[in-house]
Amino acid sequence: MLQGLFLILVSTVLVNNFVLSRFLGICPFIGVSERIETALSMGWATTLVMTVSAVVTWGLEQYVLIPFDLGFLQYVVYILVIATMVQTIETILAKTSPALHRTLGIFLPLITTNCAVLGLAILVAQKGYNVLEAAVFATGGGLGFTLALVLLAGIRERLEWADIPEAFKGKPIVLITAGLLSMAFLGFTGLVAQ
Amino acid sequence: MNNFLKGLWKENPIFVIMIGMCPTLAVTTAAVNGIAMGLATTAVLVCSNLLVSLLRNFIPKAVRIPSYIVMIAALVTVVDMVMEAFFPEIHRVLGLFIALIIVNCIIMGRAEAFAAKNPPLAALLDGLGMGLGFTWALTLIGSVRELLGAGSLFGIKVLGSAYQPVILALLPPGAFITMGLILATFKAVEISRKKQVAGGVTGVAGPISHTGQHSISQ
Amino acid sequence: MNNTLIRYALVLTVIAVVSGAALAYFNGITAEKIAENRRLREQAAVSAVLGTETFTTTEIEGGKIYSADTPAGKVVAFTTAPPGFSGPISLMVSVNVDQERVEKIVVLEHGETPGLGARITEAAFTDQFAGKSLADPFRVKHDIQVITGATISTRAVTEGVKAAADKVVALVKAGVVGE
Repeated sequence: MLQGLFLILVSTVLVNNFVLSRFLGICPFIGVSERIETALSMGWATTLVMTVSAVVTWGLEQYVLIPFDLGFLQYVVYILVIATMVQTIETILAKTSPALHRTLGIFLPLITTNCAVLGLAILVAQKGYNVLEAAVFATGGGLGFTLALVLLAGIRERLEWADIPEAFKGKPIVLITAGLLSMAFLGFTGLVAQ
Repeated sequence: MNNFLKGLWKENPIFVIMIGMCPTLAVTTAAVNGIAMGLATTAVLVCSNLLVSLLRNFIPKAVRIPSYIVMIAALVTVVDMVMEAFFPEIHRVLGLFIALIIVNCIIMGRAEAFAAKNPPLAALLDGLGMGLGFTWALTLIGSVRELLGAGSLFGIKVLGSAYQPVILALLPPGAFITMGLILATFKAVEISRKKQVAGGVTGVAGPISHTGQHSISQ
Repeated sequence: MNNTLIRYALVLTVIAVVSGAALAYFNGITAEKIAENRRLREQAAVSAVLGTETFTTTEIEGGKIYSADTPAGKVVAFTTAPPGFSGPISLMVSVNVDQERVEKIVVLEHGETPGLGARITEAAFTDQFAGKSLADPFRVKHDIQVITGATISTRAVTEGVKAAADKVVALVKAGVVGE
């Protein structure tokens, strides 16, 4: 049981990293990876939203969509849950922890359209996880996203002083850097055959 | 007419504005996947732009985002069901990424930036142009990766058996690197053009000159 | 103020109801076709390994067994999904129960590396299993040629086929598959 959960965690953080091997959440990966600090905040906020919304959508899937045979409403319901969760988390943070809200606040609205969050909720339904596995899968997905984001941000901070050919300045070099990171993560394949 | 043409080149969603990157990188292991994904997205984009534009006086500003989200999610579900019923093979290849058209920022972005402020015909053309711009970009990336990684184009062998395929192009890193190289090529062309006309007319509008529009909003 | 709120709620409700109704309608017209597609795909995969269009289906725990009587004896087909290098490898296998040999294997779905592990789908690899006796050792590099650079994928298929075939043959002999 514990071992199974641990395997899910390792698999989602390293082997099937959401960003580097599943291509989920590329937009924030490219867009919010200029500074390590912002990357970290974005990562935490996303992990939080992912975990909460994965558990809520899991509940709705098991107790509403499947029993009432409403599978065709899955996408609509999921995206509404995510949007609502983002709004709720933002409101709660604003009331209880203004400091945290200042750091994470501006990132929260962006998370609604982070395809990693919706993708994760749908994957949980497809894989037939139980609620605990869903929560671990979501947390792993979020941590993997954070890891990829922070790694890229770390490299980009140094790239600023590098002498890059004119044509590669800006986005091209970022994409190629991401490609190299992804190549490094290829080394993890086969670690856990899930 | 410009509403239609701008999406193809000057404001190409992939190469210029750089939104909708996830499907761009994930499904482009073959040219035909690029076309399929592009057309599915175009279908949703045209319908959502049209709907948003038609309803622009009915939906109050304060609740427009949830309204759009529900409409887009419903449209994507329809496209998903139709594809599974009539194109099951392609549906299996694209898998999860059909559902993820919902959160493709191109859809929401065009609804907000264009369709909500323009009459239906203009919105329709804008959606069609942006969608086709997205489609050709995906097809180009898919073609390059397929050619390098499998030596074929649209499933037909083009390079002889002497060609040793670069498998990396089909793996995840290949997606990032190919995309980076294509962007760099466009930029290099742009730079050399600018050098030629230096002192004369200001640079020819090419795909990269608008990168300033890119923001962290995806 | 109150009026605006009511208007907002009204607009959202109308949109949600219309969307829901549209989805229910489209679900109604596509659901049957989708189910039909799935059935056809299953039928095609089974026919491909059994070599015949007519077979009986038996539900067993964790899957189905498809069986057919041929001149060469009783042949059964089943699916199995051993863990490969990156995710499960879904296989359709047919076994001749009377002769105790594998008839054919087909890879249905897999996530193996293109150009390396993905070559398990090639005939050069799968043909090695055609007509192979279950008394054989099924050992990679011994009686099964390994795919260069893809030992793990090769081993996963080889051991997966053997284990599932032994299990199914035992089940059939125990009389689980009724005629």
